[in-house]
Amino acid sequence: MSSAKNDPVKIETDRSWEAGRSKNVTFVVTEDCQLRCRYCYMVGKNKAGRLKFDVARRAIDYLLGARDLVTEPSVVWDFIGGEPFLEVELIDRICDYFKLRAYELDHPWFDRYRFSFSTNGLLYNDARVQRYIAKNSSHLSVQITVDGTRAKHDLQRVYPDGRGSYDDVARNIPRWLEQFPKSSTKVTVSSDDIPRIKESVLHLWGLGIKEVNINVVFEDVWKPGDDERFEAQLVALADETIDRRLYETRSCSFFSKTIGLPYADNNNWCGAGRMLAVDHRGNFYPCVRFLGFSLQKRPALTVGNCFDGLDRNRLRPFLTLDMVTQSPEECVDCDVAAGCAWCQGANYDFAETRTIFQRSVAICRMHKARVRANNYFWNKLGRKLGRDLRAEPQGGEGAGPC
Amino acid sequence: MLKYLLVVLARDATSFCHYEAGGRRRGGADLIPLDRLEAAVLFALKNNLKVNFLYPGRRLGRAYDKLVESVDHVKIAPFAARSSHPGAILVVESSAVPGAADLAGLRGENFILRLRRADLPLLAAALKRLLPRAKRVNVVLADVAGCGEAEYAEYRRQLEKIMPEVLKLSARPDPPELNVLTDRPALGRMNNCEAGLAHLTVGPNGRLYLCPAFFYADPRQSLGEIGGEIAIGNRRLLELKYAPICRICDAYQCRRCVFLNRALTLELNTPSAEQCRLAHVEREASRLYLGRLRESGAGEGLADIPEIAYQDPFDAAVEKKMSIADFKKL
Amino acid sequence: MKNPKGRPVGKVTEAERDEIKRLFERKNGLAELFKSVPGPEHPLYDRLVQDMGETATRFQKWWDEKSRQYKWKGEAGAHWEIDFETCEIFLKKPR
Repeated sequence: MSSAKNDPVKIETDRSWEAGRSKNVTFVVTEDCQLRCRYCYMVGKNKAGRLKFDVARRAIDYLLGARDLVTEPSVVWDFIGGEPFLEVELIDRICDYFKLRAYELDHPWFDRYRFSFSTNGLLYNDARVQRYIAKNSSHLSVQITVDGTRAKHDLQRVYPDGRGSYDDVARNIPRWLEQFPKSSTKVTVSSDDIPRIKESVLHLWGLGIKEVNINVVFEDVWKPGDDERFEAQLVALADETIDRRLYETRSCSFFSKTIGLPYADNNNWCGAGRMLAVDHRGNFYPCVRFLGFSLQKRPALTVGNCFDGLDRNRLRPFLTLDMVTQSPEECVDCDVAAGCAWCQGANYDFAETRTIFQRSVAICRMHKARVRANNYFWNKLGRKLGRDLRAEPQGGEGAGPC
Repeated sequence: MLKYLLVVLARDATSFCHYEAGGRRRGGADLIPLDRLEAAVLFALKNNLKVNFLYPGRRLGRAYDKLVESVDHVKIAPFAARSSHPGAILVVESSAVPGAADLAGLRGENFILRLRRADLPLLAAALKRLLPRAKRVNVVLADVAGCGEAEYAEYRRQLEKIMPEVLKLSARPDPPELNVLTDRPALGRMNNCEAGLAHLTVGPNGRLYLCPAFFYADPRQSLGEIGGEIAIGNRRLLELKYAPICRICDAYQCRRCVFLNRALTLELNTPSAEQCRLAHVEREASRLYLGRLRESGAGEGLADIPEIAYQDPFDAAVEKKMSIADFKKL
Repeated sequence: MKNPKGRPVGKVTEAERDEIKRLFERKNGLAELFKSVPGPEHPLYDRLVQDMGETATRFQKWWDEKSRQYKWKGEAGAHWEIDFETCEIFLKKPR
């Protein structure tokens, strides 16, 4: 039962399971992590913020019961941290409880659910983690974050004492890929990483990770000239991808047929508010970026809690948010706007006032650089294959959980 | 464009809207400092602004009276202080609607009826007393947060109940206006409060605010000093164009209160369900009123109010996002 | 370039795809739920066992009916697979 596409050009990312149709509920099981990644937006890691089973149970009971407000036909339960596998036994209890309650209630989510993990991979071979994986294998997706080469990875993904974590993660990759051969990894690029983009993507593909989801950070970290260096890296990656015919078997989210055009619609990029994050206090958030420990300047923004339910009024701004209302005029009129991403939580954090309606444009020059390299890639590949690739049906890029 | 300035003369000045005013503080400085009042008056004179002075139920003294009278203005005062402020807009609390004796002799008054949810069942009766004496009555629900189906239903019942009286009075040469029934038929576009756009408020501490409610909620939310630079961050969010629910809505009589928006949804540009549902009870009542007005042979020149399928424009805004092209036309 | 799955042997409607997808998900869901139910003393045990049997039967019935209806090519030892995105059916031969 595969969902692979019938297309020799695989460079575009496949759509995720039930993309756009499912409810994404994120349990922040712990605010602790073994690493202190330098780019991590979760700036306030701690050992105290651990989810208790009773709180998770209340949240599940509420969400299964609130059928008038939570109408999605399927659900993805995301477990994140901190590092989620630090709490794998708790997660196992939570998953068991969901399965049992959904079955008891004859809830439609029993026939349509997934458990999803974003992990640093350090505990992947732990016996408890492996037991959990075996128990839930047909409903699992696990994404291990590897940032690329050892040099790039260890530049950012470090232990509290400053040591890099590459070797400890890399040794778990073969088993992960054996168990989840279609897995992807998520790479985050900050200013210092730019010179290592090409080698990192190639390295990850070389490790057997066929799908590399990569994006630049939304924070305003960019220095003059970063956009040119970024473009040069992507052009070099494009050349290598084409010359070595890697586009037939590998994908990288930097290259997409749909980006670099004017906006075709007025949709919000981000799914915040349609998603939900639950913290250890039982508070609901529009997504994990609205928790206090993810924010630098603004207070946490809750949209209810598992005891009193969702606050419909606080959800209204998220559910009616569109592109034009939050964007500066230059973005609305931008000729290459399609694919230019934003993060609602980052917007909220960086806005001049306490609002989600002010889009941060810190990545503007980086997006334009990406567009130029992306055009280069598709035009060059199209000439090689003798096809107008961008006139063909698109792949799977679009808004969704990040 | 700024058109007028609201000046709250004292901490315990009457509320005329969706907020609760503060009480007097023992030994505290309750009145706006005279130099700040003078600065406010000067600011109004230099910027062609009319001034609305909000009064408490007590006298302020000659120095204050003199400054007030030095600028074009309207006074808003509690009903109990009517004798001190002839011509003022009079605020009536629903818990203390004046009796016939108190109203005797009044005619052509402007009333604001601050209605509490608990007094909703008394609305029609209160209006029946006020309307014959009024040039205009503005009904303002004081405690909007937490309204539910029972309140919406009661509000609808009360507006239908008062309709015959409004129709009867409409035959008068000087028919009184009732904001929640007679405004919408006369409007062809939004006619909202426009705090921060059409008016600013000088709080009793002499500082500028979007409206009095922001002062009473948290005096630190000031926009700055009179005469200084006015700092309204993300000012565009006060505009209709940047309010995704309101810009597709035709409940034109709605106040579109940015204070309630902020308090209930955390965003200046997004109304709560309560605000939208109440405004649509008024819109529907206005539609019925217009129909009956026409049946009586009046209402010529008033545009139709179409029947709509929703009670909350949020549903319509979620169902269909405005296109980029339509947004640019706004 | 060839499709790694080979040529499809048939195609079903979207409604038919939805039906088998739901049964497939349910079959997997029941199997994994079963691992969380400690034993016959659990109040859900009997219901679960019965449900697993019924779902497996309906799942097989779908394949039997559709293969007859659409006359898909078959082979001894091989089985059919569906691509949930395209609704196409492929014949998978043993390696």
